[in-house]
Amino acid sequence: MIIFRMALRNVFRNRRRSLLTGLMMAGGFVLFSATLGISEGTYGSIIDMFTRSRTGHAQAHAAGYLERPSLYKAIKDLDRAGRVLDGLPEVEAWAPRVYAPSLAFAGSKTVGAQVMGIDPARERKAMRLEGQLAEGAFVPDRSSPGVVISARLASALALKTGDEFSLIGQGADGSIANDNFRVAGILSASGSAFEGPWCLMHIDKAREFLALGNRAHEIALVFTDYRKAREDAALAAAALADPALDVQPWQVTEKEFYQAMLLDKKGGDITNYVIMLIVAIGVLNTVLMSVLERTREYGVLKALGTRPASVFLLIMAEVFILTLVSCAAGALGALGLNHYLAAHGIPMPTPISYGGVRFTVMLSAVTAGTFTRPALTVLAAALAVGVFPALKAARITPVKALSSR
Amino acid sequence: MEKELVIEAKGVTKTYEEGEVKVHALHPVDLALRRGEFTAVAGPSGSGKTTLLNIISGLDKPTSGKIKLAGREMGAMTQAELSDFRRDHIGFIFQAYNLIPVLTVGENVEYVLLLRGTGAGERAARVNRILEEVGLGGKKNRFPSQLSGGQQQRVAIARAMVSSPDIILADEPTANLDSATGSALMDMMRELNEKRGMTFLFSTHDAMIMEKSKRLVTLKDGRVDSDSAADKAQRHD
Repeated sequence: MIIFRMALRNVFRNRRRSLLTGLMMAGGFVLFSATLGISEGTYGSIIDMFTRSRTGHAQAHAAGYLERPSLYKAIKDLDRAGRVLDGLPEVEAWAPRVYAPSLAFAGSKTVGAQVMGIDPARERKAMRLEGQLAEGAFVPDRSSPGVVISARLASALALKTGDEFSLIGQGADGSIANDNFRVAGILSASGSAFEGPWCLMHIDKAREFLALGNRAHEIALVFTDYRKAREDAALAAAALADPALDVQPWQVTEKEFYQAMLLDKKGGDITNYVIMLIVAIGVLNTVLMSVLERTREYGVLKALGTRPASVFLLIMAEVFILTLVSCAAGALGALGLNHYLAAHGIPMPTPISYGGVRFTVMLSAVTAGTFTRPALTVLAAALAVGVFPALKAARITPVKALSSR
Repeated sequence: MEKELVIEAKGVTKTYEEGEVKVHALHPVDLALRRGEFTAVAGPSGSGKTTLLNIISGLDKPTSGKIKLAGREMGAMTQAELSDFRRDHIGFIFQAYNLIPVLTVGENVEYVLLLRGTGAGERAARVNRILEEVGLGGKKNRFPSQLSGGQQQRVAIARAMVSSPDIILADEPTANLDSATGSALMDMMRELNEKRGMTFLFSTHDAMIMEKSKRLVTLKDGRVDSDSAADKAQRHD
């Protein structure tokens, strides 16, 4: 107990130096926390932008579809799956889809196209597909020949809104799928999640075209919290309790995007660790100075019979107390700054548009992690650099220390 | 009847090596102190007084020779054992007081008792009693920086005595004090020695301490030059 009392008083002994070191640590904490908050907020916005443009937070498919998509690998009992998903509070919305490759004809031009059958009403709740329209109208709410095509398909077939074209494909019953369609709308050429030659139509029309009955190839799921996509996907899979179904979060279905994001995040982490390194060097300097100044005092303590471990503990307790006070001050500062950045953000020099969303401001995300990570890092860094001076003090030879000035 | 031996130094030498140069701080020195003695080791600077005290206290190791303190051979002890031994058997009074500046007067005195694991009630009683004895009863909650040099040395004396060690080693205890304060402190220590029977060993080149000591050992060039106890024994013979 007396060791902690001494440590506490030692911290306040050289107030100016402790204040400067504390400010350095608190400043490092605020900077780390703000960077984390902005990083979390920005990645949150990007994930939201990306997942709500088409992917969803998770997807359910027939087993094996994700690895090798096929017209025949379809979810058979969509009604049952829908009822189960409606009963899960974690699921905010879900939307069934069908997919099939086909050939599109217009005049003398032919091009391969990807058919996507959607439920417009459900997609409206779950995704932001409509916002990606460049012209015309979205897929009608009822089964009709009106479709929305991607800019690339429109360009390849020289189609405009109101033009007609034909699709030929293979039906699930082995028949030849063949029908005429009318261009209701064209998706944006830039910032759309549909860069390829896509043709979006009502799910019932797609089922009829592909002779799929009531089946679907995919259920896109949107959860109440995107950060819990993995847990909620597992929860949905458990609730569906169907070995023929495979539910995977967006991190798996969009592995490449996720990996690229992690790599980018690591780059941001390096910046934070550089900040911590600078803070750690500052702390090391302070503690070393203080140990050097108090060499004689440690000599007295040891001469009186204090064990080296207690001297070590004394220095570490001083570092711990200073760090704790600094972290508390840093947390207060970070709380204010992060809340400001969460409300007002940092304007982006060049706004980004994607998936029907315009991204103009980098907003901070205030989570427990934006405080606990800097706190633990500052504490770990300070204690790590405190070990060397503490060992130095613990190993002091009393007779030499007592003769020091 | 002769009192028991508290210190027994036999053939103690100390050689410092500074590069290729060897400095012989102590040539073989023999010294024996009995319980209750009030002895000064005197001599000019560089005569080996402080080295001898450091070796007796276990703060430094002799190059050769044996030291027994309170019946225990110190040469074979590890650093940790020496640390515990100092805590349990030796009280220190330093020239520069060496109080812990962040502890109050009471806490400085109490510190050695805490190290020894003395219970809270006994600690408080002992601290209060010794502070009264050294005349600092009303200054228990002051910090060392709020005291004069003489008062700080009184705290150091209280700290050295509070655990009733076998011996109190005092290295030039009056060197930083004016002569009146130094003399008063010596009188106080001598009174405590007589009242409590505690053993004191001083290193000094202060004539006043030599005069107030009951036994005087002088060192010259690392050797015992004279010992008043031996002289007295010779006279008896």
